[in-house]
Amino acid sequence: MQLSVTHFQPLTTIRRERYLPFAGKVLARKGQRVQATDIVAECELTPEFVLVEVARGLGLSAQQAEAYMQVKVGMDIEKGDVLAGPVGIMKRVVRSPYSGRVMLIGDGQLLLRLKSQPYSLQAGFEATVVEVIAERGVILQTVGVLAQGIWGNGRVANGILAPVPGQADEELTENHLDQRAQNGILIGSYVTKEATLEKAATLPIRGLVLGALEATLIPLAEKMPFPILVLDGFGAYPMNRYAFQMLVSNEKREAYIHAEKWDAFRGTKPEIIIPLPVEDYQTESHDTAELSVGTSVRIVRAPYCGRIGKVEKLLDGRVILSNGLSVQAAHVRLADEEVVLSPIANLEIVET
Amino acid sequence: MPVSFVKADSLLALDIGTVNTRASLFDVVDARYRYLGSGEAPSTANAPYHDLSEGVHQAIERLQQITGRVLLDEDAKLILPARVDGTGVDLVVSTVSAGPPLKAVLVGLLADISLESAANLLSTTYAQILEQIYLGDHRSLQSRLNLILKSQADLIVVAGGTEGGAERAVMQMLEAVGLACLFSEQNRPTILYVGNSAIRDQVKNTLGSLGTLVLSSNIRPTLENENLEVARLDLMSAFRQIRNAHLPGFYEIDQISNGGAITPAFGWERVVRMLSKAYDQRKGVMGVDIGAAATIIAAGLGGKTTLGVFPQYGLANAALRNLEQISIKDLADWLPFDISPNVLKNILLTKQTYPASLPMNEEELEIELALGRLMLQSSLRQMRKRLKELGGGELPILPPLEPIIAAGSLLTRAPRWSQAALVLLDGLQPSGITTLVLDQHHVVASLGAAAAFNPVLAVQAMDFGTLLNLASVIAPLGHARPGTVVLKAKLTYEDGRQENLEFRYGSLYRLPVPFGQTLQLHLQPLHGFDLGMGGAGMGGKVRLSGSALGVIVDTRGRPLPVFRDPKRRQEWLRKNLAVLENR
Repeated sequence: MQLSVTHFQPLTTIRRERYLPFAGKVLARKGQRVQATDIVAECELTPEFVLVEVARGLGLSAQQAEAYMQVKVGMDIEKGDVLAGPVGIMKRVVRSPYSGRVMLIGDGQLLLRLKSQPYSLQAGFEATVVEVIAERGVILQTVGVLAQGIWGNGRVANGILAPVPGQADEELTENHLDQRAQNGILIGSYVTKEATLEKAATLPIRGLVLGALEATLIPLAEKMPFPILVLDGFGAYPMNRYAFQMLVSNEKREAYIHAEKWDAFRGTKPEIIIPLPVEDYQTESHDTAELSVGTSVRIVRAPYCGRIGKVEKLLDGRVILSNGLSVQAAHVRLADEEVVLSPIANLEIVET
Repeated sequence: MPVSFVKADSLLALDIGTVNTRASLFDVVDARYRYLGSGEAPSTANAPYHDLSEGVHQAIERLQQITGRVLLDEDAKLILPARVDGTGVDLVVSTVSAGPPLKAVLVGLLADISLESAANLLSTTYAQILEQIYLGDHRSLQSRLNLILKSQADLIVVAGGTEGGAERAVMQMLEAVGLACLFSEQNRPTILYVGNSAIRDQVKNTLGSLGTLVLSSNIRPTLENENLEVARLDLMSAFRQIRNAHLPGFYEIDQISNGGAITPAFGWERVVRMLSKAYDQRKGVMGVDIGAAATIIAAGLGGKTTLGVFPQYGLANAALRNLEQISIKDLADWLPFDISPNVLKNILLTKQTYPASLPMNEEELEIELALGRLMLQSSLRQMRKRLKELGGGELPILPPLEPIIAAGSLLTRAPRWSQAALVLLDGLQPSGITTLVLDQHHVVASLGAAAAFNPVLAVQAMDFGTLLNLASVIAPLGHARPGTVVLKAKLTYEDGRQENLEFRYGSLYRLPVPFGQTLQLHLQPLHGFDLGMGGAGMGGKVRLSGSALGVIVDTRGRPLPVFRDPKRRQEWLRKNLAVLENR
């Protein structure tokens, strides 16, 4: 059975698509080495239009105004350019309120498409452009640490991984936050109090990676100016030990958080990437994999939510859970050697 | 190309949902259509597959294993039509709810007339309304244009003008739509016109060259009357066009499906329409499906139907949206134990993050069942006006119904039938005498797709073991002091045994009637209680068939009682379950 894969990998080849929301221009070249803030492609976002009442501005009828138009459809104009006129003794004119392109003229009106700042697509992490997709974007590749999460607050940033202020199973509180975390990316087990996030914002920090976050804090987390990445679940429980040890061992390295929302349709997950100075390291990373005995899995529902282990046995037929549900199930040996029963529907494969 | 079904023997029904894809096989056995089995696989609309076909292929492979029938050839292609050696199938039907809801903008003249009807029309499919634009919204042309462009809508529904009514105002509203289409350089929206039919030609001239335009009949022919019948079909057609363009794999499924791929909601509506014509014309028929993508409610009376599709009340598809849509307190009120709002939110968010995941303990199972009750109640509230038009009262008083057919994994996979029955009883609060039926194999929507060209198959397949009779329900309407006898019944069993029973207000009762047996009841409501047998206080004889739970007498009142004391409420919930489980 194929299941989706989440990655907690200390060393892997990371390939990521960076696509524009609309067709545009790709600026990067194949083979180019890019930094996180380098713009790899750009496009125009949804254009904005302004209707200019030319006839009214000239004090003429719509029909009369046609004769005084100074611009034609398709012309690019700057803010303040004369659109129509002059009319009468006072030499009345109508000037363009904005820079843009004339799209339509008629009925004494003029429709202007405003000139907008292009949308710039940044690389997001230090990498090499391995493929250019014409008009759409690029595929970037790097070698390093990859940890994927289940929730992000939509923000992106990079910074140095700060010294970890607490233990793997200890709640991150405002008391843990001091100058050592300032301008760094902070690793914490879990957060249940608003004060922690508020204190982090005042330091400030560049980003926060957590094992778990109390669901009630999500509205506040979405307002935080720094990216927040949740790796394991919602509630108060420690970060999985693979991710925690992996992140702790990379303290002081430059890391890149893409705390975008998990989009199952597009297949994008929030994640943290830490490029490592390794040349020509090739591994295969999978989005889905076959579940079999020995596969590393994470259980996603209580009472083992976020716990990682290995499949010990795939059970034949269906199994009745304590609540009476009839499910396809597996025995999973957790890291502490406890063997637990889990529905297969509650498992996701982890590549570690 | 039209296909005669007379010669066709076997039917493969594909149901492609947000979480699961099912392939079900029907064939003629002993001169009648029967359900033979289903194969199931995870749906593959999402990454990394981005193609519905993969999930369909896996589901058909599973179906082959279960039924022993060979359906795929050596190249793993569906054998269509069936070969003389018995491999393959003659016909395929499909229902598809996978994929994100359509993004829609509504354009009309009056907010409470044309826009309301346009919203009702949209609620018959998997759509999310992003913007509403109307004559009195005091927006300028540029503001409307920019709103439409920013919405990046898949679909614009234009309504307005009664028959013989406003023309110029509708054309004025079309200016912004036309400009938006003109300047949508990428992904031009499909336009569905459902306004004044007198200006269809003008609309065609204005918008016809700017993208896909579907001209339909006026959904508000008069100020008083709404008519969605034809527009629903055209909306389905627009839905298919949009899915064909944006959902990989849809086109292939659509092409092999007789009648094209339709939404499950559309299939449900067809079944409800068919049954409402066939059954007791004084009573309506209701179909409910609590799905991951949406909750669907279809109701019909004498062939007249109403349909509601509510993606915002899908158990999983809506991700965080459900947390905003529902009140955590309302949800906690359906739980027979104390739980902190924080813990409850954590559990809900986990479920919505992993929609296919399953509760591993009793508490989390109860939470999902409670969510089902809330999704039904919320969906009914959205349909209250339309249900009233079918003979219902103020909610929770539904029209008289026989039967209520229910689907959704939450119900069909519930460990105990009593749990599924309580979700329906509490969520819908039916009154009078009705039957709860479970679509245990998730095939009703598919049979709706098949009913378009072979109603015989749909009826026969539903008759023979496909649907499960969950319970007969007797729920007298009225008010009395708790403990007052409000219904008397003389029971006559098949073996001739007789029994007289009294039912007191405020309780739930269960009378087991095994499958294959019938129970005759002579019912006499008291204190003006109404059983729907001709008026308040009127009784009579009914013969009820055996079912999984038998007969449930629900004298708890409508609406159900509200308990301020959480302990009393929890005790009441536990007692309800205990009664249905004969504990």
